[in-house]
Amino acid sequence: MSPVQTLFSLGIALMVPMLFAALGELIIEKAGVLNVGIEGVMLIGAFSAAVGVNYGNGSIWIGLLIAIGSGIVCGIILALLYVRLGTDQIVTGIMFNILAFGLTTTLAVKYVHASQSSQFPDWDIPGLHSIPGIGDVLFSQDVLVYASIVIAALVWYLTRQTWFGLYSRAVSEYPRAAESAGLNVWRLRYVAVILGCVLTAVGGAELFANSGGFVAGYTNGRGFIALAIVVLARWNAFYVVAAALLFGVAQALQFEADKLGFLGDVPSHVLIALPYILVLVAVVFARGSRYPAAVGIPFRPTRSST
Amino acid sequence: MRYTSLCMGHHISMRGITKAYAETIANDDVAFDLAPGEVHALLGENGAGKTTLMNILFGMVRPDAGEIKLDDGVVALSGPEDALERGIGMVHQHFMLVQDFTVAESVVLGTESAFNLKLRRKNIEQRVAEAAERLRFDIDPSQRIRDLPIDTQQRVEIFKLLYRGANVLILDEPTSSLGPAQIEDLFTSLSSLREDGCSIVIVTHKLNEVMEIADRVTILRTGRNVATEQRGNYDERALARMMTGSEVHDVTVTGEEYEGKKPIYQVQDLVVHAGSRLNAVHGVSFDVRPGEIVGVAGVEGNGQRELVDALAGVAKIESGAILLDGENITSRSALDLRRRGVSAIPEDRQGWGLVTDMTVAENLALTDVPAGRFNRNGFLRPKMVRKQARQVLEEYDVRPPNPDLPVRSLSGGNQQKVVIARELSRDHRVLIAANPTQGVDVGATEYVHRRLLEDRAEGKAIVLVSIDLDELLKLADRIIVLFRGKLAYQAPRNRCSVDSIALAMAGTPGEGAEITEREAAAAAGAETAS
Amino acid sequence: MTAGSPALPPRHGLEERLRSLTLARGITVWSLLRVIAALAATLIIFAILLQLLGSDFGTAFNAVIDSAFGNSFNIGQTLMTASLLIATGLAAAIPFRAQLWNVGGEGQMWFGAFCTIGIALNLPKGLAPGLSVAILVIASMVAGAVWGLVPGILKATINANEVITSLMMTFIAIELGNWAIDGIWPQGASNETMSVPANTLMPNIWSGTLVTWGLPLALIAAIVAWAVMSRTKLGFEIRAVGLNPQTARMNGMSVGKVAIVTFALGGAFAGLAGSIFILGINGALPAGFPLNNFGYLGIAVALVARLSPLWIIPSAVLFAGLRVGSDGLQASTGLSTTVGQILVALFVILLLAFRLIRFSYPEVASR
Repeated sequence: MSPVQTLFSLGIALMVPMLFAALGELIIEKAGVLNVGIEGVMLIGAFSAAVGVNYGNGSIWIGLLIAIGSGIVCGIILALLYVRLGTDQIVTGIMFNILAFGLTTTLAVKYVHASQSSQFPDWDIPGLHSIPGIGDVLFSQDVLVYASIVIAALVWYLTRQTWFGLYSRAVSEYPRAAESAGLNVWRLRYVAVILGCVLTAVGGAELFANSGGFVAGYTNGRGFIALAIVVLARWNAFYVVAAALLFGVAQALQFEADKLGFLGDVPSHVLIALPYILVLVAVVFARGSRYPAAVGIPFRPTRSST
Repeated sequence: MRYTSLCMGHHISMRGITKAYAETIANDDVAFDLAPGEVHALLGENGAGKTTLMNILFGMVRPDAGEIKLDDGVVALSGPEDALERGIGMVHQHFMLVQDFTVAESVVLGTESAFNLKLRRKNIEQRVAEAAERLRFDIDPSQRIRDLPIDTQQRVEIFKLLYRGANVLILDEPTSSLGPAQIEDLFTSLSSLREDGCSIVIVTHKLNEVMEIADRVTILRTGRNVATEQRGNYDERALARMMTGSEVHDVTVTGEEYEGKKPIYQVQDLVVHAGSRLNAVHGVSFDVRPGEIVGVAGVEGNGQRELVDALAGVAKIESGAILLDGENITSRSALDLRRRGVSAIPEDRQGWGLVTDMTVAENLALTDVPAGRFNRNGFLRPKMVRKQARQVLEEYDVRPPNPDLPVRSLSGGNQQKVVIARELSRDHRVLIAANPTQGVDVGATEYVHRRLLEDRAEGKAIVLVSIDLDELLKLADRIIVLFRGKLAYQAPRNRCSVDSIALAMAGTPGEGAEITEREAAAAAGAETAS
Repeated sequence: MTAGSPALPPRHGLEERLRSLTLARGITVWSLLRVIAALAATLIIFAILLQLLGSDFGTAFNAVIDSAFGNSFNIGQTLMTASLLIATGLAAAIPFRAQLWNVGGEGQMWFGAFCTIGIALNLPKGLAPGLSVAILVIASMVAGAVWGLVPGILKATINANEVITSLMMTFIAIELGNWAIDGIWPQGASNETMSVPANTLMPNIWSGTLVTWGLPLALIAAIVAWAVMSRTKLGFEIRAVGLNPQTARMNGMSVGKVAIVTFALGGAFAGLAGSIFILGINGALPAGFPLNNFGYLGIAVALVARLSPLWIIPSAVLFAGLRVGSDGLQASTGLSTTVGQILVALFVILLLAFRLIRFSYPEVASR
């Protein structure tokens, strides 16, 4: 494959963790909650996948299963904090990230073999994979890549074409109105947070699979980039895919730069920093993108006030 | 989905309802009855406990004690969902509508299980259209809430409840945002609903409405029952007495007719944009003379907020000009306007007028500090701030006159006094007041009116924006009407006709416009003559 | 309460009586009990964790206390770490008071440190030591302020989410630091840059320890921050905007201006931490987060101090003790040094859960 093809192929593979995390965050924000702890959840997902692989005879699927489990646990804890206890979401999220980092680093020493890794199987889509030029790039990826696209479509459907999606919208814009229409705001938010955390943890599992092992804190801001992706994409699941792809390719640049001639002279550190700089640029273009009105504000049901 | 076109009303009986919050007892052993096919008014001042009582009936609040009987069976409502199932619905004072939603989405919110995975826009719009047809309601399911005028939004709120089979409708202060014509329409709808067998509760503090539409009235005062009376057994005076516990004095305008002085405050062709096209200001002009109160009337949502924001220096002015004593002050910052002598009493004191977590003294100094007062060598002098505050608090009769209390601990009326104290004690030539007596009890309202008239007597130019027409008729020297961001009527008080004002507020063209021209010509003629 | 309303029935119960006992403004016996409960819960969960990892709580506890406060040298280490945390704590607290979430203190500190190294290595040789230190400290504060201005200006002009922007700036700064170590000012094979010249290091003020001028600098910073917040017009505006931005606007204050100024101030304090780190503690720039996380810890310090500049001092000492203490953990129990982070994060989360740290929110306007 030509360097450009490799770039995109790699970019598509690299976008998946951020894509899953962004889709998860989309569901969560569309229910009125801001999960800054997304980075920590992803890290815990990666860690759990590593543990699963370690104790599951090297099977990545066991790793995935454990990661999903960890996503549920994180989701329950965060839902308790954000929704039921109504703690400040931004600060709680930041602390959760520190906790996640400390926990995974400490436990990794004992429960993870740094060098043991496993990958998701590749799948060359028959027929499509032989299309010259793009076949190799698009249709010769690992299964989780395809799964992420399917899930993006499902998330789009969930948020636009289901009653859950409609109710979430109400809960994220004007939860008091939802309450007076008979909806249980807390219950809707619990579901959204747990679902979102599961998706984010799956993103972490893919990160582990891509990276060939577990290194302390190696999420390196991917979760936060996912936060930006959601804003950029204006909470539309399909635009999320496009934005994630953009950042995936930006990340891939650091690996392919030397082969791409014009970028060969740029110091590797600049390329590593490129995705973060890209977020800042993108934020300027995303001006006018407005968070749902009630995001980040804890909801106190009228019935519970004394 | 049960949407019956005929209400089959319930007998509702609430007994011994008690609800206490941290600082007050909202309901103290309250009783309330409702019969099918009646309009029952729940009357009381702000803070009497009416909304709490109805929130309890609607399941949004759990009472500390007491029981609710529905047709002889005691019910314990678990929440609004439960109440709606049983046919009880409530329209709150601030509509519970998501601005981005369509009418159809707003109506069906909460009607299906969240796990139902199929939602088709066309489908729900059709359902809602059919129901609207059957219930003889004139609404368009595909419109967005933010594009609807206030009275249509209210109709959507009521329709929401009927769609879900409600036969008990609770309306909390339904006329607070409506003009006279729309109030008539509302009462007509309510009458026909009553005929169909619905029971309706109107929570209100307006005596004339009780007189007009109620079959029965229950009066609450400071959380307790005062009386329940059938139609015919009371008049307005009696109601007022029961509501406030004392004789109410009318504040009458005693200021002299101002003489044809030159206008000191001029608004010319002001254009202000807003989120929804209904709300913007589309070219408004008026003058205010020193010692004159110009009342701006209009149904909420016709550009008043944008107008006030623009005059206070908080909103962006697209075009047009504001002149203060000949000087162009358009687009000046809020701080600058204050320095030049434009004070503003915003509506919604807790949202715009006060920082509730700061002390009374800090709130009084809210504009002074950024302007650089109380500054010595770059440092604030808290003692000076407090000393000044103490003086002002006494002068304006704020209770308790303690500058160190957090403002949140003051009553609503006293909080408003703090705002008024700050804005009036500053050197000013112009005062912009927006709904200054909203949510304030009768005693404090009297106080606010008195202060406004005193300010007028001192020769200040006052712009009083209010959705309360009675207040304007009482205080204003001249009344202008805002409709869809434009001036729809203008006349001096002693020459204006309430009917014309009402028509202008409702946007009825023709007659209103004629009168506008005629009156304006007469007014102009009369003014040049004096 | 309006005149004539009925008297409240007397409320009994231990909780009510405890609620009404107030020790000082805002602190009641009830809330103190909850802090102790949160602390106890943290220690219990931590002990369980230690068991899982094969260590025992007693050894660990002793190791931490000893390493943090065991002898005057260790106390000195704790105090120097505390000075870093005071500075990064202020970096978070000032913008937080305006309800602006500066979570990029880590990056602002690191950029300050980066600039300190860069300028220190290029200062003219003959400069008097006091002067060089002063120049470098000021330079690092300016650098930190500049780094903080990016999220501040983006927030003020296009209302960009400052959590995202300040976090991105952090990662960029860390990468800058890595570049400094690898390419710009490398120090052989070590994971650090070259050291700054000796005459730019802050002088020692406590012989027998490594406590330098960095400590008094941090203390002065805290006092300056307190003075600004409670005694100046700027502090008043910051508070007003944080408590009710709409009202603040109505009274002539500019939310945008406050955003820019608080982020610049916050960045400056973080930059100060950067120069204290380089000139007062380490002498060279090591790898950044996640190895070093003074910036993020600063957020925890600020929260526990309830955003009050003076309370940040004891809070910083507490967290410094935990951090220095957990360094000693590794020696005696073989556990990773990040164990201390678990303790810190757990404690703050429990404080949040027990509602001991709270922020107020306006109800969403129904416009």
